[in-house]
Amino acid sequence: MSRITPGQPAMLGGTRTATVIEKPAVLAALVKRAKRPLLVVGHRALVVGSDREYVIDLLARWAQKDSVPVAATGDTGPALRARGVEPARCISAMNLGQRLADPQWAGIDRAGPHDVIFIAGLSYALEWTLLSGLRHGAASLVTVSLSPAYEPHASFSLPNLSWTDWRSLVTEAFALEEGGA
Amino acid sequence: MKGIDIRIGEIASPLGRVRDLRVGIGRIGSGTWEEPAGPTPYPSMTALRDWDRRLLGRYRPFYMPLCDLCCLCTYGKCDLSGGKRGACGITLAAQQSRVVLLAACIGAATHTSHARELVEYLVERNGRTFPLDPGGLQVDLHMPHVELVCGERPETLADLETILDYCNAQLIDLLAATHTGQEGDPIDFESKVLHAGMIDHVSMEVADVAQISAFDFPKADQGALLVPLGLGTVDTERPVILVIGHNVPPAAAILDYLADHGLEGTVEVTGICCTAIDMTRRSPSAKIIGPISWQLRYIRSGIPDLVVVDEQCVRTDLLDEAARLGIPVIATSEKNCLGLADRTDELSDALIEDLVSGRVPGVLILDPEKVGEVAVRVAVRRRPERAVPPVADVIALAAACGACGACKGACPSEKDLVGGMQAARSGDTSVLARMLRSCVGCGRCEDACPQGIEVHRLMVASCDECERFAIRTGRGPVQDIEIREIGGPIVLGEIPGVVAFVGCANYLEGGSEVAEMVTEFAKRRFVVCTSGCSAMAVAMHRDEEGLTPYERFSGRFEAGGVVNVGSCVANSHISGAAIKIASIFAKRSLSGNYAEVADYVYNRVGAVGVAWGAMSQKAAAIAAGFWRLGIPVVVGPHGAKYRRMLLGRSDVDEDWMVRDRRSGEEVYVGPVPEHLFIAAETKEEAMAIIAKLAMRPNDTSRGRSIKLSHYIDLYDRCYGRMPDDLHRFVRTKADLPLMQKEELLKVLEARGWVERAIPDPTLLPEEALR
Ligand code: SF4
Ligand code: SF4
Ligand code: SF4
Repeated sequence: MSRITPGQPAMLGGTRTATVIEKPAVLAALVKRAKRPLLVVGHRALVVGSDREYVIDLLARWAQKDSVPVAATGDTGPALRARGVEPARCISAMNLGQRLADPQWAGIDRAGPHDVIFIAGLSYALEWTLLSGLRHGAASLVTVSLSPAYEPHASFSLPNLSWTDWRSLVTEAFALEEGGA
Repeated sequence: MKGIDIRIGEIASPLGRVRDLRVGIGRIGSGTWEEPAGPTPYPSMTALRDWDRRLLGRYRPFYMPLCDLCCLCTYGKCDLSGGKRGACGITLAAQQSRVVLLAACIGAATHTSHARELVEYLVERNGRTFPLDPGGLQVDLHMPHVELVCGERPETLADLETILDYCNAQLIDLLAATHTGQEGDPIDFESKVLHAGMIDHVSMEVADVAQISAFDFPKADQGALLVPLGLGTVDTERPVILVIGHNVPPAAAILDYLADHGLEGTVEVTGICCTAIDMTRRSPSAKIIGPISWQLRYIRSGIPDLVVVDEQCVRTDLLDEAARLGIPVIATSEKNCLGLADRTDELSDALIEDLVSGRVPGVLILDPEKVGEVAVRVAVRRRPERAVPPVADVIALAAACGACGACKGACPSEKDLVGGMQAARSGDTSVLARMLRSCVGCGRCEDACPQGIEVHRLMVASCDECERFAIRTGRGPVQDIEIREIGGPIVLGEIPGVVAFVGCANYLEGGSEVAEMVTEFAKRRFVVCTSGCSAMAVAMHRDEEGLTPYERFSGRFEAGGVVNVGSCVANSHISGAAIKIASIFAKRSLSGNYAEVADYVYNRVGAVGVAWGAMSQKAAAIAAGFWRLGIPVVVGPHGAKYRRMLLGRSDVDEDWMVRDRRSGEEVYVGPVPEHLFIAAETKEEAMAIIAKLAMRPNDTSRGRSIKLSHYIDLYDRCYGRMPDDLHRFVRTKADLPLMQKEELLKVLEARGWVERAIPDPTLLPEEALR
């Protein structure tokens, strides 16, 4: 069990915490192992970043490159579309969580249940609660938090990272070429 | 025990002469109400279980534990994660619902206790037989919740005691159900949550009707006055009193003392939270500073000469904060004594000298009239010192910041405080000043800082905004005539919905989002209601023409109106309006007839509650009261921390079958309303959800086409495309908005849509309907 502090230190939740993704290779391996991945992107992916580039830009490039189906929560859909990614579904985070917890659900694109979700860009507390719901309601689903703040309720989570460190880890793990897809 | 009703015309006792005494146990015994008694007067906590299970069968709980552990008894702590059970056998799902029930009980107990304190005080002040009159000639149906739940029509202040006895008893039973080894089924817990919510609305109604009647607040007044709001409204040349809380008698006594002693206009009486709203219902000379998030900010401004606190949502470190600036405090509630000595029975002169001299930081006075006198006489002596660190100090103090980020990690609003502090270090305090707009004033950043930097204080000092706004003061209930005028268009769907913006100020992105949503829905000709801290947040926002929503839109309960009903307890008038539609427009009998009326509201009244900054246990109870009536509630992103949603599955057709009363057959009506409780991530998403949740099975085609046009438009604005679920909401071609008909038909055809009938919908079996 990791002793890492959650992105908001008070947000501890129990006896199990997410395995920390310290190295890009760990994230790359999770991507490789996923048979039916789903990328969930919330609106703060448009806020976190630098002046020129935001979390959403790198996630969109990865989704495009690896053809990962995307669920856009909040009002993220148009921003993804502007980056060349048509979301499989625009859906509220809570609605999505409830469906992911249903083993009968056919998946975001009706191509079968998902085995791994990658998630980033919800407000910290919303992502935290959603991941808690999935940990208890969807025990066989692997959840990977890509937010730059450690999310203890995920199965795997990035640690608390500066934008520059986050950017370089994700770029390497997703094998993104510098300067855009 | 019911039916005991003793009436005494006049009696002399050692306590004095009592006239018109009526003692009822279990019943009030009014003789003027002719409605036949319904099936569930004074329902116990299982009497409506069948109705609850029908709702909860559609809207299944999605649990998101805030903690995997339970520590409620000494068997524990128990780890309930990964399917493990507690030592008592409880599951994690049941534990979550148990905590939700505890929260709802705390909320409902708070309103019930508040109501009881008010009623006891007013009975003593105005007499037991003082008549209830919440709406003057405009309101005949005084207390829709009490009539519906209890099957009673109270007429006097004393009649309300019986209602509160019932509420007390129910809350004790509900609390007992949370003991170790009682209820263990999550849905039974959830049903009890709904019961707590129903009780909460009864108690809120009792509290507000009592205070409207006895304090002569606006009575269902469409033209309730615009009153001042904001820091800029305070004349700091005068003595300034600050009152904080929810229970208005001490604040009312301050205003009365000023009036009785010819001092009106010489002392500024300012308020935060619901007491502030209720003060302005009593006297338009009182001033509202803002919602609960303004407590630290306003005290630290050093402006108040005295702070008077009553109950609920008062910062528990308030005495320390006030003491730092030498501001004396008067506590006035048995529920919030602040550790102060009870000096109710001492002479006012002694209390005043102790407070003015600073010999004591504060006193507890459990007598509103004495509070009125002491508060004014202390305030007029003024404090010698007022303190706000100047901007130059902000820059110097920020220099100690080591950019560790601890403040940022503690900030619920996820502000980039490190960036703000670094900018301040280099002389630019504008970043901190801007952040204050969406700061909830919790102060956690300061406790987190290892350098001891008072981050919030520096933000306050950086911001010199001192604006004046206007809010329409709480008008109280909706008039019967207003219901007669628009009950029909609401039920038929021609008015696209009633949206109520209620609850606290725990916003992620600031209160201006509430104002923007209010403006959007008022422009779309929904009926918009506001209350409590949301009502204040709405007022703190101006449009391009410099008008707040209250100045821009009418205060009538009509399409395009923005109706501030009042403080938290006035929320009962919003749910009460839905009940009134069933009674006044649809002629449904109310008396003890809860399930039938809730079924009516659920299937026909397109009302939606929005608690964008919901924080408290009271907000949890208020939401639950809406849910039991079948009214959905949308919360902001922090609302997910209520730890469970009640969500429908639009993709599961079996969930959306109703009985058609005309044919007796089970028919599909689509997912309307789709959810009972859902947290939205952004205001754009919330607005699309609100428009969708306003649809009801009973909408006529004309009504549905109006509602659909709003949904399609707001969906497009949020998601940039046509709704994925459009086909589920279109029953016939006539449901389609005329302007988009051809385009929409193509979308529907591609999705294999077929026409279906519009039923006379009910969730209840025939025998349950009268
Ligand atoms: S109430 Fe049950 S789960 Fe909670 S601590 Fe006691 S035994 Fe454990
Ligand atoms: S006081 Fe404001 S800035 Fe500080 S932690 Fe609270 S919300 Fe954030
Ligand atoms: S916690 Fe204190 S030292 Fe650390 S970044 Fe915030 S203000 Fe600076």
